[in-house]
Amino acid sequence: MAVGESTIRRRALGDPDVLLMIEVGEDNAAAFEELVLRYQARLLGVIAHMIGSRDSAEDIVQEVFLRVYRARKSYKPGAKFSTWIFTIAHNVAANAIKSIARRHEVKLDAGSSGPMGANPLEAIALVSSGQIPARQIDKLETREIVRLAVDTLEHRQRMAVLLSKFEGMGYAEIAEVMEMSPQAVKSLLFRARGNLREVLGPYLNHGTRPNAG
Amino acid sequence: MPDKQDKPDPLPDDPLPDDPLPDDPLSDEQLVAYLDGELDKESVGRIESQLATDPELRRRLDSLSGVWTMLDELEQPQVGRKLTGTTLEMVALAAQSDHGGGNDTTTRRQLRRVLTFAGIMSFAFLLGFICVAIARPDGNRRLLEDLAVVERLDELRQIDDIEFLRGLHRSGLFSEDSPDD
Repeated sequence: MAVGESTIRRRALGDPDVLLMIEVGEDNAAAFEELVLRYQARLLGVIAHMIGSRDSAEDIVQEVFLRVYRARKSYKPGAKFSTWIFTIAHNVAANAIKSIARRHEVKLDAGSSGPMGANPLEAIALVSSGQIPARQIDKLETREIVRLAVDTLEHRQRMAVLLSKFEGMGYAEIAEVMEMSPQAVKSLLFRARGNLREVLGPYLNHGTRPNAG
Repeated sequence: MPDKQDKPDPLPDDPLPDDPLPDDPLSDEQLVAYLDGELDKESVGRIESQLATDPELRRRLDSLSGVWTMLDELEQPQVGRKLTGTTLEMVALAAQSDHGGGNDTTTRRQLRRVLTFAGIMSFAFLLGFICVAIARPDGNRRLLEDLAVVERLDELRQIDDIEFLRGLHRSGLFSEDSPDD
């Protein structure tokens, strides 16, 4: 056995979720339910923004938990539990994105859920050009603009941004989740911030609402 | 302010200069690493001292951090009880299926093993029987061949001349379809 009992206990003490997962490995159903309750919202938050469809994101979250459950007997606490489960989530989401791309599907929410239309850049251009009056740009619309800006990011940039912003992960942890080098993550996040600034900068420069004039 | 200032370890393969000259303009990449809390304490201190005296640097930093702060506007989907319930049900069903499937598989594997063993044993028995049948001399065959002689053994013992007996044999007396039979 590569990981000793004392090491496992030490990691479990440092990360209570590791202890829960060890209990799941001992077929403790309550421990599994606790993990679901702790992680489902976090996973859904990241995956929904990755995929762009809440329904698909829920399916992926369920698939992640299914994989976690099936891996319960072979689980070895080699990293933080959150890193481990987000690595699974990243792999499942990446497969889903490839599958969607193969089927040439458009993202469901990008065109249907928001008031800005199907093409994010086009929608933002409309706002900037004043074709959508500034008074209509309320908080919900700002939220929509930010979402569309995030949608313009290449999917690896998007994942790195979401993990950094909402999971508070550092470069090394994101690198582990995305199976990249920390240096590559650093470049990814740098480019992502640059892209976001390019899209959202006009709004920042003109206050919280875009300048209709 | 950096998001994670409590992470002082710099990246080992960071290509950025660890000790830039005082006049070196800070790159956006360094500012991003500062905002991400990925610089060591010394670099953080250096950047903060430059920020205190350089309004242009502060403007660039505000621009980068402002965009990052705007991400807080992203809607975080709420998880309903339904998702939790269906997730737990799905996993329970999968566990049941795995468990049941495992038993079926084990039973099938055991049955296959028993049948294979029985087949091998039957084949070995048949092969042994054939080999023994071929290799062992059949005593009854010789008795059957000499049945006519055996039946007349007492009478034939009365005859001392072997050539005479051979003559009788050639005449067909000891064959099964002899006239005496």
